[in-house]
Parts: sequence; structure tokens; C-alpha cells
Amino acid sequence: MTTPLLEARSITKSFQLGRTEIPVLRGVDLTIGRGETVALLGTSGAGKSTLLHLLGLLDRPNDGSISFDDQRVDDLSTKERARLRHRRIGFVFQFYHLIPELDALRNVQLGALMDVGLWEWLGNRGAIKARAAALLEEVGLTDRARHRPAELSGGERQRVAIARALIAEPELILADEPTGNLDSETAEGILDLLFRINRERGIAFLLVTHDPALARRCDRIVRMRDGRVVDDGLATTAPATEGAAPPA
Amino acid sequence: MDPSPEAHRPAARTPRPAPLFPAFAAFLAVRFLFARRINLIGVVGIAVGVWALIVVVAVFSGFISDIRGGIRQVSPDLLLTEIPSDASFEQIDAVLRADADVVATAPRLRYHALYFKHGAWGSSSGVRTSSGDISKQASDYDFVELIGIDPSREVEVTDLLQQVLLPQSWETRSPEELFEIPGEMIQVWRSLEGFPLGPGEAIGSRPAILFGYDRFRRSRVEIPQQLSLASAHFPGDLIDGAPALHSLSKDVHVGAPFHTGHRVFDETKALLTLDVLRDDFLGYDRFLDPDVVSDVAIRVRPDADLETVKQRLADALAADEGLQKAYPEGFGGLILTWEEQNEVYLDAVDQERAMMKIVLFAVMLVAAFLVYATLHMLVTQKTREIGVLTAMGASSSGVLKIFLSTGGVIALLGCGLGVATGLASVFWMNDLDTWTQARLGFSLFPRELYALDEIPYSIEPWWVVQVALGALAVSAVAAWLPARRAAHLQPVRALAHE
Ligand SMILES: Nc1ncnc2c1ncn2[C@@H]1O[C@H](COP(=O)(O)OP(=O)(O)OP(=O)(O)O)[C@@H](O)[C@H]1O
Ligand SMILES: [Mg+2]
Repeated sequence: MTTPLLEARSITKSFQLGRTEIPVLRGVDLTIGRGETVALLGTSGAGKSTLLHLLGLLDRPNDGSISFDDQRVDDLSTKERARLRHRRIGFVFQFYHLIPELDALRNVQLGALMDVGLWEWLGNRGAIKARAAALLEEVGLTDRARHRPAELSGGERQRVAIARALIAEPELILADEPTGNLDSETAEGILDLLFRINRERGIAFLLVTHDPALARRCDRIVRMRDGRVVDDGLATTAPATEGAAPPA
Repeated sequence: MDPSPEAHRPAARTPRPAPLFPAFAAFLAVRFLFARRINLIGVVGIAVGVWALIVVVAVFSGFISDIRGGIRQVSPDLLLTEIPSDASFEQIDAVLRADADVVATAPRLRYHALYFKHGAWGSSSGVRTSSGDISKQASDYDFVELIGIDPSREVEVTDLLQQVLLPQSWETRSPEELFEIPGEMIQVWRSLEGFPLGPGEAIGSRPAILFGYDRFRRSRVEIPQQLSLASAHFPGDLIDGAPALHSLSKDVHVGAPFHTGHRVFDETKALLTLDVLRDDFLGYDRFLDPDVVSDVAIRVRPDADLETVKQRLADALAADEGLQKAYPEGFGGLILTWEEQNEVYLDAVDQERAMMKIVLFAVMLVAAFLVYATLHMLVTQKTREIGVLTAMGASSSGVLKIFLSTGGVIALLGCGLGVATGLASVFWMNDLDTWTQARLGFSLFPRELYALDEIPYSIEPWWVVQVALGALAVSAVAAWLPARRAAHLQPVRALAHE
């Protein structure tokens, strides 16, 4: 196993709905190695997205710990977690979540502007723009740079979203059903892109999916049910089909 | 895939300080704002508020400084008033003029009278209170406050006599000549009126009364029409145990009217010479009676402080031995600066301006509400984007700054637009007014009402700065609440927002 990049230990999370407490994660252990690709499978409602949000430091667990490079991060301040998220973690969502007012090139640039001061950016615009353009080229969208999200297809939007996640040079990308909204052919293209990025840049991926075929392309497959990890093993040895829900 | 030591970065890298103003906040603020035209309504609101505050206050201030200028023409630097009715001007004057800062003094005597217009029936021989000879049309009787002045001394103290409007045919006149109607002129007038002088009859120059221009016009008098002044007083003697009423009267001729910037003065006052008022009308004996006055107008050296001089003169009057002897109970007398003389009037216009500012500030609050509503709407519309930005690593203070910047951009645009249009409207107001009058037949400002040739204005730079800063502050407060709401959104919930 590679060096652990991210380690989650006994994470629990419940949501308060009125007076009743709904337990969603009931003690999850998960380790992601540097440069590793991990597929997260599980039935709908198993708590995959919730786990992703916790690992991405968007929310805090009720109990348990999350460490990055052996440093605990779940108890950091909101501000510190925001900086860490920006530097080290990228998000890719099922519904792309691009900023509709910005064209593709600007959406990608935005990913680099979170902790750059206004004056620094004004003095450095060309460089950031060039990096964004290079990333758009890498995801194969050079000729769509000036299009707004509404003028792009689903697959193209997801490519823009991936380029946006890449510009901050993260070590881990958390992708919540990145192909869930795409036809299988387009999905295949997106996955090829993700795995290429993984190979070329050594970025680790945690991919939530309902697609067992996709899961098998990853280094490891983790299965969840009812807020627990029920299976965690190398993709080559794991029974890929068992327990996986069909795509919604 | 073993990482090299450099690649293995510790979780807490030496952090760069977080930027005070992150680039993405400005980047998004502008795009969010211009994405929908409705978002610019706050800009319009602020601009209207700033515009109104600048234009209305500039006109008001111009108006006030006009009024003050007008008041200044007729009001001496200092005025000694509440003088005992039997005091001698000479005695008081000596005390006042002893002060090094007093440049000049002028006596004034106030009295009240009715005046009667003479029609073609000729010279009146006096007031005949129950005679049918006098026209009883109400418009032929009017009440006026007479001010008796010494023309040659008055010009040393105020600009009042410079405001006399001489008919074009008149040559320049000395101050005294303004109050004398030459005999030939009266002769001509009488001939035109149909009761010429008899053969061998000659008329010397006659005393003039000077009216304010508005009254002059309203009373439909003309130069050198003859008028009778009438008044009455109770000298103190008794008839059948009741105080006796003595009537007073004097014939005068209408002289050239004066037109000062002080409307109230012009409307209510008429000028005579002190001698005519005191001796001929009130019946004082030039040689036996004291030279009574009701006020002394005082001109002070321009660089002197009015309050200091005022205090010193009051002390000097109180300490004067002659006055102490004459008035063992105290001389009394009250000295007023030119502002105090017109306190009620000046306060009233100042109050009006202050009220106006308050009313207009309400416009500003409406504008602030528009900014608030715009941003509130924007935050709701952009909730999911806020979640996405947070996922991308935006801090909550960064999110706060997006919407504060949006508010800031709205305020700056509104302020810029408001100041620009405000100043432009003020500078071109008179042109615009002339145009609307010529083309559309209405005036933006009732110039006639205020007897103004053009709309006065005065731009106080400090006020413009205050308005601009006020608008920025108000928008900042209005932007703060929605921005804070955005910053406090839970990222996970924001992401799930539809
Ligand atoms: N904010 C919340 N408040 C209350 N309950 C929540 C909240 N977020 C998630 N849950 C509940 O937690 C459970 C797990 O949700 P989660 O979105 O993690 O599932 P998931 O595994 O991602 O499912 P899917 O495959 O459908 O996306 C669900 O039953 C959901 O209703
Ligand atoms: Mg999910």
C-alpha cells in the first residue's frame, strides 16, 4: 500500500431532523493512499455523499478523526479548513456546478483565485489565464474556452469542472458520481480523462459511483451500506458486482 | 509510488497570509451584478438619492447665501437698539465712536404710519379722518414702517442706499438727493395730473419717501406722486380723564424705490430722512428737543471680531459717566450682530434646509433598501454557487467579501452617477430652466416668487463629500446583512440548494 494521504478513523455523523436524530455514518474507517484511485460504491442513502463532504472538510464529523499526512484536520478552524481544501482537495460534482455567469476559461481561472489577493491577481492575470487555457487544452476544450456553461454539453461541462479542480493543483480529487448524469460513451471519455490525470499527475481520486464496471478500473473498491464500510479491497480481487446498486 | 521528501508536504505548510481582498470576490462581484439588469436598480436608487441631496441642497444653499447677502445689504455689522426714547444720539454716538474698531455709525429712527395715495384731487392739507374727500378704497391706504435715516451717514455703514433703483433719466444722485424731489419735477407731475401750479406759484424741492420695489409696484404709486403719511400718538395729556390722541401727518412725495435682497425689509419698510421723520412728522423741535433715535447702526473694521466689539461697546455704554448720570437705573440698550438682527428669519431658512436634508435622507434610506433587496435576492439566487465556491476553498470571509464588493460596486456606481448628474444639473440648471420656460412653458423654480433673476445655487464641496460618503456608508450597512447571511451558509446545504 502507498503512503496514506488521507485517513478517516471511526467517523460518525448524524443529522438532526426535528427531535429525531438520523445516524448516517456509524463509524467509517477509510484510508486513501497518495496517488491512489478508490471507488466508493453503495446503495442510495448509504452515506457516500455525506462521507465525501466530511473528507472534503465541508462538514465536521460528530466523532472520529480525519488526518491528512498524519495531521489531524477535522478539528481545524473553518478558515484553516477552507485553505486546506483549496490547496489540497478538488471537488467534482454530478451536476458540474459551474458558475453560469462565467465562460469556461473564467470558470477554470476562478479555481486559482481563492487565496490570491486582488492586486496580486491584477499583476499576474496573464499567467493564471495561460494556466487555465493550458488545462482546457488538456481536457480537450480549447475551442470552447469562451462558451458559457449553458452553451456546453454535459460532458463538456464536466471537463471544465475537472480543469477547474486541477488548477489549484490538489493532491486528492473527490468526485461524487461524476458521470452520473452522462450517457455511457461520454462517461467513458470523462473516466479516461480522470485516469489519465491520475497517471500523469499522481493525484489521488475518490470516486463515488453506482457503476461496477467503472469501479473495477480503480485501484481499490470500497462498499458502504447503512453508514458502514462493508467491504474494502483491491479492485482485482473484489467481487465487483456484489452489493452494488444499479445506476439510478 | 514512494513520494520524494519534497512531495510529502506537511498538512500545515507555512501558510501565506490570507489575502485581505481575495481576487475571486471582486471577479464575481462585478459579474453577478451585471448578470441581470434588475440588480442595477440599487445603483439607480443611490444615484437618485445622491442627485437629490446635491441639487436640492445646492439650490437651498444658493438661496440662503442670496438671502444672507440681501440681509447684509440692509443690516449693519452691529445695531444698538432698545435705546431709551429720550436719549440723545450725540451722547451715545460719542461713546461708540471712541472704540478703535468702530469705523462709522448712523442714526436710525423707526415709526409706523399709514399712507394715503393722493389722486387727482390735489394736494391734501392734512388728514381729515371722517371726510369724504379722501378716497376710501382700501388699496389707497396702507401701513408701513418708516425708517428715518441720515443718508450721508447711512452710506458709511450699510449698502442700503446703493440698492435704490434710479429711473433711467436720472443722473447719479448723492445720498441726500435721493430724498429730495426737485420742484420742477413736481411741477411737471402736477401738470400731467391736471392741477398745475397757479401763476407765480413756485415749489422748492420736497421730501421723498422711498419704498421697496415690490410695495412700490403693488401700491401703484409713481415718482413723484404725492402721499400723505398719517399716524397718531398719546403724548400723555388727558382729556376728560382719558389719554388724548394726537394725530400726526405729513405730505411727502414718492422717490425712487429700493430693491434689496431682503424681501421682508423691502415689503415692510419705507425710508425717509431722519429730519423729516423726527421733526416734520413727529413734531420734535430741532433745537429744543434731544436728537432721539431708536437705533444706531454701527460699522466695524472688517477684520474685527463682531462678538468682541459688541461686548466691548456694551461695556463702554454701561461705564460711560454721562449716560450713568442721565440713566441712574442703567442705560439699557441692546447690541445685536447682523445675524442676531435677523435671527428669526435666518433660523427659519436654516431650519428649512435642515428639514430638507432629513427628508432627502429618507430618499437615501429607500435607496439603501433597494441595495439590501438586490443583494438579498442575489444571495438567494446564488446559494448553490456559494456552496460550490466554498467547496473550491473560498473562506466564509471570502464569501462575505463577494457580496460586500457587490454592494460597494453598486454604491460607487450610484455615487459616481449621482454626483456627476447632480453637479451637471446644478451647473446647467439655469439653462435648463430657461429652456423649459421657453419650450414647455413652465419654470422649475418660481423665480418671480423670490424676485430672482436666476436660480441661485452654491455647491459646498464638503457637502458633496458628505453625501458621497453617506451613500457609501448606507450601502455598506445595507450590503452587510445579506453578505453575512451568505457567509454563514452551511456549505453542504448550500450545495444541495435547488
Ligand atoms: N442535511 C441532511 N439532513 C438530514 N438528513 C440528511 C442530510 N444529508 C443527508 N441526509 C440523509 O443521510 C442519508 C445519506 O445521504 P447521502 O446523500 O450521504 O447518501 P448517498 O449515499 O450519497 O446516496 P445517493 O447514492 O442517493 O447519492 C440519507 O438518508 C439522507 O436522507
Ligand atoms: Mg450522493
